[in-house]
Amino acid sequence: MEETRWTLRVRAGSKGPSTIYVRRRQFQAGEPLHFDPEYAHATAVEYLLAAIGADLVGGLQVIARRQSLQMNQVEAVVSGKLNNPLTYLGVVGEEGHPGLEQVAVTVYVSSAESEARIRQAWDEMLKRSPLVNTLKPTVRLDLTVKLVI
Amino acid sequence: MGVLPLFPVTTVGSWPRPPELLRAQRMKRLDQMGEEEFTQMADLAVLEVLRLQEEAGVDVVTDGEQRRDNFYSFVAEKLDGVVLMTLAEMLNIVEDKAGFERILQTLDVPAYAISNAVCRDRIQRRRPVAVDDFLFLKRHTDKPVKVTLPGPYLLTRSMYVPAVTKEAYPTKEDLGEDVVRVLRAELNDLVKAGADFIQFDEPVLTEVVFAQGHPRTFMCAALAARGDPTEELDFAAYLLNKVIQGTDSVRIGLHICRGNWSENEATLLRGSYHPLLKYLERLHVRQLVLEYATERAGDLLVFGDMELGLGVVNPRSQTIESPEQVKRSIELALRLYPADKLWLNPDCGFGTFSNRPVNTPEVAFRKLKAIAQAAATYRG
Repeated sequence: MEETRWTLRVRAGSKGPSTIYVRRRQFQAGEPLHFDPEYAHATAVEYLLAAIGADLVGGLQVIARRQSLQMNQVEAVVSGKLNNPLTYLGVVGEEGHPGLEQVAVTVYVSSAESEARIRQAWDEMLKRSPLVNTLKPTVRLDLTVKLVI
Repeated sequence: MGVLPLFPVTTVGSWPRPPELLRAQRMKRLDQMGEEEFTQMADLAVLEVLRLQEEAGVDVVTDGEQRRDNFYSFVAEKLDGVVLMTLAEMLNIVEDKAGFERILQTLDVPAYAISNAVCRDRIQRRRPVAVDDFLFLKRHTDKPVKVTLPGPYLLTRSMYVPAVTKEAYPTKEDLGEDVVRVLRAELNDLVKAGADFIQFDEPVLTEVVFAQGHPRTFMCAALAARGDPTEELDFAAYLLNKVIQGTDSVRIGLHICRGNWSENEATLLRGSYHPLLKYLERLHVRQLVLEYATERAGDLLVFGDMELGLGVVNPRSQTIESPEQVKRSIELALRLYPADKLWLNPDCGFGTFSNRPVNTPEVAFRKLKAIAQAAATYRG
């Protein structure tokens, strides 16, 4: 099969966020990480977590469509824990690294289907997920699906 | 209401819904189930809740709010000008998204599972809010019936979402006047229909007092901006007194708690009812239904000559309180209240949000039974 690559362009803003150009779209991302809840932009770490969430909920819906499973609602809560965020700030004497150490995702599904069928679709999705399979070797992933009527 | 025994036992309203009713609620929401079919299923659930209450020894019964999605959002089906929005639909318009997120995570529920009634046009009663439910229950029991209604302040606060409501009502005070009109009409119809006890729920009052400077706690209260606590409490007292003005022939109660959405007591509000005292004493209600089963509620207070619906069991815990424990609470209350002013109930409902009941029917039943056993020891 011919090699397929996905390419995008990221331009740093002079003072503000970076702009990402992808296919015919563009969006903005802030600094790698920020501790201020009022910070105006989604950070790179938040985008990564968002991407994982989107991978799981979108992937589950793709599998559901293929298997003719009806899912009325799919929603994920994603949280990530860095090994030591202070190393990102360059605090002297801090050990560890600023990388993600653990990512926890709970995916809630509302469906009239049986729980067994939902779990089967979930397992199938995890096998096919690009991001889960990328991160699994290096990051602890706690991934849960819950059927909430 | 006929003669009641000493220390009448009742519930605060909600009861966990059976899974088949939850599925039916979802199908009805998605227009996959008609009103008639849903009503038949809900009727069965109500009768089961009634059976359990009667078997446990409850003296004044409720319908367990089985037909409702939660204790206030169900009004969207009953009122013109009000729509039901899930919190997922509201995430774009609420100010405090991070606060919202904290509550959702504590509840461990998705945003699509909790709904809020939002006002987007002038409100009118399309159909009775609770009269039909009352009449159904009354047809199946000889016991006195308690009907629960969301209080006018709760409804005004939760339904007033500026981005959606402002065009119909420039201020929440404007909406409050129409909420009063609607609830007053409902109250009059319930009185005519023979309701024995009507309880208004105003849990947001404690949020006004205790949550200043702290993260928001109640989903409904997270929606509208909080004003000055004194003004808010004045407004709440004004609204409720206006609703109940002139309805002396029926027992009217007011339930206030500090949140009933988490089994983790540390996440719920704490503090004595003392800051509310001067407002509560102004109210023309006959009974205050208050939580006193946990130390979060502080010292027991006397509120003028009002009856006290004494919370004697924690609806969120798995541990079943013993009748002796309940009796100890009664004995403490008897130091401040004459026996004929004391009623017994759990601190709150067992299924405030249909998707997130705080207990199972089995535990709820055993807790009610413990209350009834304690009350029985005082009766001749």
